[in-house]
Amino acid sequence: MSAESFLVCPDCDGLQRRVRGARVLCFRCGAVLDRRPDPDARERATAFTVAAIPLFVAANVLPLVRVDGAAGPARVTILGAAAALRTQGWPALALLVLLTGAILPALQLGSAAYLLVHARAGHRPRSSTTWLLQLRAVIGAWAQIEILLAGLVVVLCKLAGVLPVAPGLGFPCLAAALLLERAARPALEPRRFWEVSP
Amino acid sequence: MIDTRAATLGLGACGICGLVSRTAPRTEHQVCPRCGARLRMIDRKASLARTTGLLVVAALLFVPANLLPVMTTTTVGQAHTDTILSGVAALWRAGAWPLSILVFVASLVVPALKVVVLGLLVTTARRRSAWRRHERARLYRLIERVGRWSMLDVFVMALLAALVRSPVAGVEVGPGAAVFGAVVVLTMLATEAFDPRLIWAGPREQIRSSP
Repeated sequence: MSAESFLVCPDCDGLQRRVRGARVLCFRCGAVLDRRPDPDARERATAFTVAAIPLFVAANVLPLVRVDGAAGPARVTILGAAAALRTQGWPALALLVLLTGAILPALQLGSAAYLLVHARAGHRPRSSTTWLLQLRAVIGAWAQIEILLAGLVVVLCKLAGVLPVAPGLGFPCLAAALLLERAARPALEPRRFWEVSP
Repeated sequence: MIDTRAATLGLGACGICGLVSRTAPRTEHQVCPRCGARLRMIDRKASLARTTGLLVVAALLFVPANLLPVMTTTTVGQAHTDTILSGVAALWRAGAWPLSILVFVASLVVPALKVVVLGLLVTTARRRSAWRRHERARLYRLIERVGRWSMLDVFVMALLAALVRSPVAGVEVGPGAAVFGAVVVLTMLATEAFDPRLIWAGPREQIRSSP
């Protein structure tokens, strides 16, 4: 029996026999340990991720919200929101918004594209694979596009009665990038990169 | 009564590639023989100390975060100051009650939940308690999943500050926002610092057979 036939639950450290081809729950704490493998997952995830990148770039360039006021149109991007915090004297808060709303989601998408394209080309995992997967594990909770989107909805509702606000073109781009990034996640499960048949 | 925890069997799994390998006792830096990632060993003392420290600071800052003004809105010369709670109330009065509930949950319920749950997890883990392990494991997974949503109000404030900038109206972000941002970051770091495997660590633990 090799090391490959065992699994350790990351949540409770329980050692258990590995069952392949099925959704596996930890026998002790109930954590999801493995999902049913999907042979096409990597192909699909690659397409999703490659499509998400230009959408995410567009979402950072195009305005997320527009105000067509009497004093001229105002538009806001993620970078603009961070810049406003900085000019008002809150640089740490500006950095937090910049990281969680733009830089870390960009790293997430970029690393996903590299990992998937590399694996799809039939290359064996190398040290950059491990390094990027470790990076993704650290930034996972801090890339927060979906929360930014929810924030945009709140802002639109808050201002709806007061100012002539409308979502900008960046809004649907950001939403689409989020959906594609999410759909690609099963294939980016770190363990998948070392499995013989993905 | 069998203890099947990997650590007590001298085994450890790689957090990246999943390979189970033998671990040398009392060595802190160990790497996975297959992928080279650093193995995440259980460091009870460090995990509990770090979680407690971050948690105490976050809990203390949660008070000024709610008392200090987060935003000052100026419309036609009239200034209006909001705290997190009064912002929620304004949304409610404006009739956007589903959104006001969302903001209330994200800005107040979620941070408070994180502080209470982590407090409970740290106290029980310190005593190596066997009390309601399944429920505690589920609580940890809950705060791990919803914890990040407390960033919602920070995004809202940043967007409003950037958007409402005309001669007749303006939004100034106040000190409460910075303190609230610190609470969000600290509670998220505290959640990451807690090692959920400590929930299951006990001198002798009873294993329930799988259903």
